[in-house]
Amino acid sequence: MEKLQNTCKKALELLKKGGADNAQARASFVTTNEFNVDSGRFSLYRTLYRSSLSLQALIGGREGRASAESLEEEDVRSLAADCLASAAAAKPDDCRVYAAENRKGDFVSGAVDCDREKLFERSKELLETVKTRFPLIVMEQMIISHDSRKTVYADASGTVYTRRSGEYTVSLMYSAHDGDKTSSFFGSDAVCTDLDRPFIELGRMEEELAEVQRQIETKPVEGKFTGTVVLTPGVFGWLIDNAVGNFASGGALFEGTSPWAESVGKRVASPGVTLRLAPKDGRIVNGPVVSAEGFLNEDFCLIEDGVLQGFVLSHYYANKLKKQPSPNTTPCYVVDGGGKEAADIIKGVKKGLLVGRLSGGRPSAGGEFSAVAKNSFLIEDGEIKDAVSETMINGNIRDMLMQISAVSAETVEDGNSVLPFASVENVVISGR
Amino acid sequence: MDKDMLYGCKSAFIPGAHVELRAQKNRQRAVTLLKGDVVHNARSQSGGVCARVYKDGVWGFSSLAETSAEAAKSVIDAATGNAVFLDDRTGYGLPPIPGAAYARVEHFAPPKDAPQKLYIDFLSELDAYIEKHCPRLLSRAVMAVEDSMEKLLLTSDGAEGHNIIPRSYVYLSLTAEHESGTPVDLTLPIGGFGCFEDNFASPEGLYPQVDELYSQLLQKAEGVHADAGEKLCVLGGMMSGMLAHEAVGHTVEADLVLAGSVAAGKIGQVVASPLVSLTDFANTAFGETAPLPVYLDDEGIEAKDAPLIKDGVLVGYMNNRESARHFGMEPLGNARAFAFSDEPLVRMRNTAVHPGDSSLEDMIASVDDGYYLTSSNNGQADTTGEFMFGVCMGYEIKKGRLGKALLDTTISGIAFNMLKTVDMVGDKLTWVSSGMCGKKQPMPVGMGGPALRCRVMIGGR
Repeated sequence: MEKLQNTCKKALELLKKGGADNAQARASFVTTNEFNVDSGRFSLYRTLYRSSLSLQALIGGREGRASAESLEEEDVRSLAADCLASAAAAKPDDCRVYAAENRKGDFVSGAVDCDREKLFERSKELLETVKTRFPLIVMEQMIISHDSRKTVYADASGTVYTRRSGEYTVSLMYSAHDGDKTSSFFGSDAVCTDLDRPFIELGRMEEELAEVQRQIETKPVEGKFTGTVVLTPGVFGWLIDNAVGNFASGGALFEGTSPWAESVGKRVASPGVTLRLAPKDGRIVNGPVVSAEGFLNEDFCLIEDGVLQGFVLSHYYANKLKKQPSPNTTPCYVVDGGGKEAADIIKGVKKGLLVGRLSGGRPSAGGEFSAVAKNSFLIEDGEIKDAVSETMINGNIRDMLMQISAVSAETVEDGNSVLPFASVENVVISGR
Repeated sequence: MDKDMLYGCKSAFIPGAHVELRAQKNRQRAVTLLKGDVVHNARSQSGGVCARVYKDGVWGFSSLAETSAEAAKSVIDAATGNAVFLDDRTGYGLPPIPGAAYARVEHFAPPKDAPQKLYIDFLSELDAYIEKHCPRLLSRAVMAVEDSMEKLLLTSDGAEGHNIIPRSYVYLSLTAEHESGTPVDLTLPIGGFGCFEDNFASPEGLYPQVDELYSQLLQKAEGVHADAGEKLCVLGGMMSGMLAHEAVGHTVEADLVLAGSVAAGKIGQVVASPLVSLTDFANTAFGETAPLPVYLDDEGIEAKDAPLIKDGVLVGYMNNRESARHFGMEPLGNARAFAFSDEPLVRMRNTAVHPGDSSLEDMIASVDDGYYLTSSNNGQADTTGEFMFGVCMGYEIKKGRLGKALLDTTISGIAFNMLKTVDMVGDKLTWVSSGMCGKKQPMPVGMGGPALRCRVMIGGR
């Protein structure tokens, strides 16, 4: 940590000496241990030793950024010169600000040290569990890793934040096979801070493996109809992330494309939808502590009971738009659970889909999208029927938020977000 | 990077083991102007050294963010230790990795490095032209990106290489308002292989593309939703290139074949119309340098073209050394790594459908009721060959003539079914190389194709 602090200090001195009015330096060491499984067997063990230094400087409202891996003194000098030259070339923009609070802080979170032997045993156990309990699953790739991180953030005002953090990450890509028949591939991911539980218990991993096994036989939906789609937490997260990016972000508001520009205090989602951006929530693993502008992140509520409370604005965009910056701009989404279990929500669906993955074009700035429903099942008269193929859903994500009829009582915590299932009414579903 | 330093580390290789030692430097320069403001202005680089060691069926790998003899020896030791750790716990006992013909390949020229001011001045002038000549815009963004990947490679069976792939692009992104009040947008990447100064002499050179993109956007601003369902379509060259990459290319990557992709067991079978041939080109295609030429892969295999479909018949997969041994095929240089801290994976290089003999005009004239789809903003496919592409520009075809522009939509299908419906193939090839293919690691790739007439599912209202 001392080397990182000294590197930041040296870089800031160079930037200030070079004319920077304000400057930031971030330095890190990351050690990664990673086991890979390919086509069902262990194939690779990697250890990575990475360092990085990122510099930002403001000169008369002109911003430059430069980053590199090396922390050697000669390279730090070169990087600082690069950063200053970039800033000098930029256009002045008074909306650029960095924190200048002269604060100190030391943060420790997660699993800082890697238990390599236990990590391998948990990996092996997961592979064997899948083979035993889900015999039709072929593990295309399984990546299980641990990152141990030391980071220092420092700025020209004297602020220094240090952080030691670490986490285990489980990432699976698989499909189910029976003779010549095969399901679509599916990915399950989770992050955790200990090895106390078998990996199969993380997130929705067990349910997702079981669902994919039932997706070998598929049928296209016949014709086109308007129905209810029940989104799994992963797909609901996609909907929320696109809504935040297209409607509530500084970029969308500045571009003038956000339909929510005048909607603070108004309903933008169904009652019962409460969304927080919460990097400090205990269920989020190693949420970011410091913003890109050097401010400490705090949790906040973006949508409360369907009503928009504000926007997701950095200080830069807040200044551009003459609005208040938000307490953070992270994608650490936490959505409150509702009153009914997902199974009961599905029982109330006359005709629609249980959507496990959407493969689709990026929604347009206005929210229009069409996508193929992958890893999805037809729902008829409250029952989950066949898995579907060649079936598309079309709509607008802004309308979909308003058409949510229920969010599930249970939420899925995968370390990155906390999300329930959500059912959405009046969605166009089209088959062959 | 210092070749002599790296090559001097061969003495640290463990006798009898297959070892790959690579030093690599990736560089990126990027500037974005949003409505005239510089919202992104950054220079970055990463570099270091890595080693990969094979032992009885498993690999050990290690990387360090330094490029020195000491660092090289350190990663060889660590990678060896990792291979031993995994071998002790798995005991697969597989045979040694197949050797390869001696290859010494050098395609390196020091990359130019334009100062950030050049990018900002270039974009400012371009942005001023857009602001003046495109009055109906809701928003505009221009972005310049240059990235390069320089690699030095040494393998225990004698391959030596020093290569660089620089590429640079300007992205134009324009947004207008549809008559319904919703925003519509279009983005156009311009550029290709080479440093920024090589590809972009002056902003004026891009004004015709700005005018054309603006014209298309105004058509889209009066656009209509596609009629959902299976339709007869003419896919433009960009779309067929994406089809070549996403819907076919990934299913014939040998690691995905081993995981059970739809192409498993189909070598020699008819998977497309006899009009369709498809190849993953290494460095030269149809007599010209391919968009992102690869001469040596990161396992030390000299790169050659990989024929995938010939006259509608599946004829090959893309392999690394291990998978080539499994399938009894020749490795053709498809094992590529993105960063110094990445191991080689089976990747595409420049994947294209071969051009045919139909003119685009004849193809459009032959459609009574369908669509001409020209641009895509993304695409995905899975191992079943079921694909989806976002369509961000297209037109109705009514009685052989182009009609109204389309709003954003999606097409989908199952590749080996859809390719059998191809009954006309255009005579002009279009390449795209601005994107990154995603597969554990990103990777710059080229994709290309001619116009194709086929039946495909289209989304809509």
